[in-house]
Amino acid sequence: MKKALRRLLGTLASLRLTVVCLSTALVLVLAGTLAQVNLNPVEVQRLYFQSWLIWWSEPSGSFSLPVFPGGHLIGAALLLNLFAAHISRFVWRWSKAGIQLTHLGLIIILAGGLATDLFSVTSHMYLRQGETKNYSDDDERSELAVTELTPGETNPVIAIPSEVLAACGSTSHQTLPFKVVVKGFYPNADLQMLGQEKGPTVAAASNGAGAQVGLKPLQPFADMNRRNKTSAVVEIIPNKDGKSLGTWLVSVAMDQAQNFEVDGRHWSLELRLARYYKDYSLSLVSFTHEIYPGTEIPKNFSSKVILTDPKNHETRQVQIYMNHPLRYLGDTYYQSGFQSDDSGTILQVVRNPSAQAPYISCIIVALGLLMQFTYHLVAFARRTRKATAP
Amino acid sequence: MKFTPLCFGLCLVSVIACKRESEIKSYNVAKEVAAPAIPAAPASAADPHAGIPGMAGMTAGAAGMPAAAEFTDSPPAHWKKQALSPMRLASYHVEGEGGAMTDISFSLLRRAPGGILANVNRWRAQVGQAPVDEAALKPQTQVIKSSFGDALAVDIEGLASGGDALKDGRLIGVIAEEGDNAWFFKMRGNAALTATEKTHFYKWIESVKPAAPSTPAAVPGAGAAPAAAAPAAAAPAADGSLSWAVPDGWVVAPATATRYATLSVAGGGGAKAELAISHFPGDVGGDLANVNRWRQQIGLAPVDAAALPPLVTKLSAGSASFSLIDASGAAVRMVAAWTRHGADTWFFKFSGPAELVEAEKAKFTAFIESVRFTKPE
Repeated sequence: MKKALRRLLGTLASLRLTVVCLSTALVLVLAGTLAQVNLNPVEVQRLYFQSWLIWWSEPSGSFSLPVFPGGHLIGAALLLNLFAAHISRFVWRWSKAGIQLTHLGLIIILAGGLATDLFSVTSHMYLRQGETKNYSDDDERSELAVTELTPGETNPVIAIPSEVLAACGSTSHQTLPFKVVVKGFYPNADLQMLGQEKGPTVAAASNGAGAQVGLKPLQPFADMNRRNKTSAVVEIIPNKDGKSLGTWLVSVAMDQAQNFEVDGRHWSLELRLARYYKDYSLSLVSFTHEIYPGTEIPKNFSSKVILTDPKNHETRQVQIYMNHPLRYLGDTYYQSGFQSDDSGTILQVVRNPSAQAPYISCIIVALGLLMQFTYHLVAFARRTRKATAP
Repeated sequence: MKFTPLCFGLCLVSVIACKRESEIKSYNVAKEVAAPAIPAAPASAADPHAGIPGMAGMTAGAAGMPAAAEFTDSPPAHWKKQALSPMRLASYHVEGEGGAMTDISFSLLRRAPGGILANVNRWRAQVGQAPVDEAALKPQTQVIKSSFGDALAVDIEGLASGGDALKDGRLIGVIAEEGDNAWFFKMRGNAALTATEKTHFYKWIESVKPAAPSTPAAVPGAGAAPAAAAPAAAAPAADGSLSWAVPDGWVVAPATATRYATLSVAGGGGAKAELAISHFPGDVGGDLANVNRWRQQIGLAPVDAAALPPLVTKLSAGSASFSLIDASGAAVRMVAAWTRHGADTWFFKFSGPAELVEAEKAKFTAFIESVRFTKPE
């Protein structure tokens, strides 16, 4: 058993594995870059780099085969390789301390990279002047918000992620007196009013806005500048009598919720970008967007916001601009852009539990290299002095 | 053996990472829009797309919320500031004995079509009281001073069923109307505490003053605002996409979330016509669908494709060619112009009482002729 483990450790720690992993990573980066011709960068990121295996699907979609290791698998193999090498060759000697530290730094950066991939969340906060928000929107994911319209100060919300909707099944929740049955889910769609020449003739849904609109499924856009109109047709079936209330078209292209009533309780349906709520809020006081004279080239963006956190008794004004993000309770707010009519700001919100890993890693690697080179320099100087001594 | 925990850890984090995206979440959120308080989309008459409920960019998104307002106030020292919700410009609370609490807020909305009565009845419903009519309302209101002019105050006592008497039981609401805007001040909470704070509340309302404008508001077309009183002059919009000459007597109204700019003109007897400017990608359903939707909004029957061309006239503005229709409904007349520029269709929809639109139509036409696209297609 021990022998087998030692052999396994030897294989994992081999330099050959390092070379294979690095070569595979090079091929993966090239393949991922070329794939962006047909897919948008976020999709490529997900399929090539944030996956364990890259799958090839038969054109009809009837079966898929893994054809290449994905970014997670290569990263994990490299991490294991480095870790194994670190353990199997670990010898505590001052002459090796620098190398050991450098390896430790590399392990931290790889593990940090994996953790970032798995746990970091990037979203955006769109704020108009004077507006206050306590949530950010995820541009890559959507959710069906089923909200009960109550007379109180708050509304209960059930948020059903698009991943659940995409399965096109029946969804229920203990707090809902009805089932939401997904009749169709469309990652991208074209919505057009009925009654136009060469336009759609069949309404997408029986109730709400969808009764006047036709839906044509589209392939998701490869171009990042165009936003997919993720849409779904859902049916509401009350638990009480199981009698359908009809269907509703919901889409991120709609900016108003649609209301309905079940057992005397009022509800609204809205497909929107997935939201991440915070315990604090930001209010946009003012926004500056300067361009170089005579051009449309941005020179400077900055947002003056008021951060209000009643829980931690914190209220302060913050200026967010390039290279000066706001960091608060694990969220980092970067100045990302401005709204098309210049009436507000767009802040990128990054929540990355391993954000410090690269800094720690760089310090450790720098220390390791410094130690290693210093050790060799001192040894060289000693040897030289000895050789030149009379 | 040392690798087992590592492998296990890697598998675990992967499972956790996959799981997080597919969970149904349940939570409570503060109301983004206090539905009854929001005027029923005043844009509906002037927004070229109001006929398509719920379509993005085709209904007033930030329903009724005017442009950002800056103000100064002097709250009593014992009031505690609290987090602002989307509708609130100021928010305080006061804590009393035994957990009693009252909540104080200040918000700015467009003047509600339902007027003061609708808002008072909404407040009455919040504290479990039956609605009242105009006649019954009058004796219950009191006029108080505010920086926005005389304001109407109502003091309603009551507790909705299931309400918490420590945090509810009395509501004092004050509405000050100024132009198109209505300033809402509200104190609601424990009955005794709210009564104690009433004097402070009224003093605070007097202290709330609009801040002196420092820079022009960064809203589309805002650059044209000062020109309203001045002779017509080319005024670039905030993002530089368009320039135009604001007709004499017209003013730039606060923009909405879905409008590029809004201009308005007042007539006699409180009549008002509004020009809504918006742009959307593509042809937004095509000319026929747009014209029929507008016709529907003013109570006219739709027309078919063959009947459309005679209704449309053409107008040139620089290198742009505008299509224009003029339609009169029973109460509203609408003159709408639209043109395509690059990938977008731009809509300029002027609507209001028939007499006022007739009187201002020449200015509207001149306005359209003054429009210039400053960015290439």
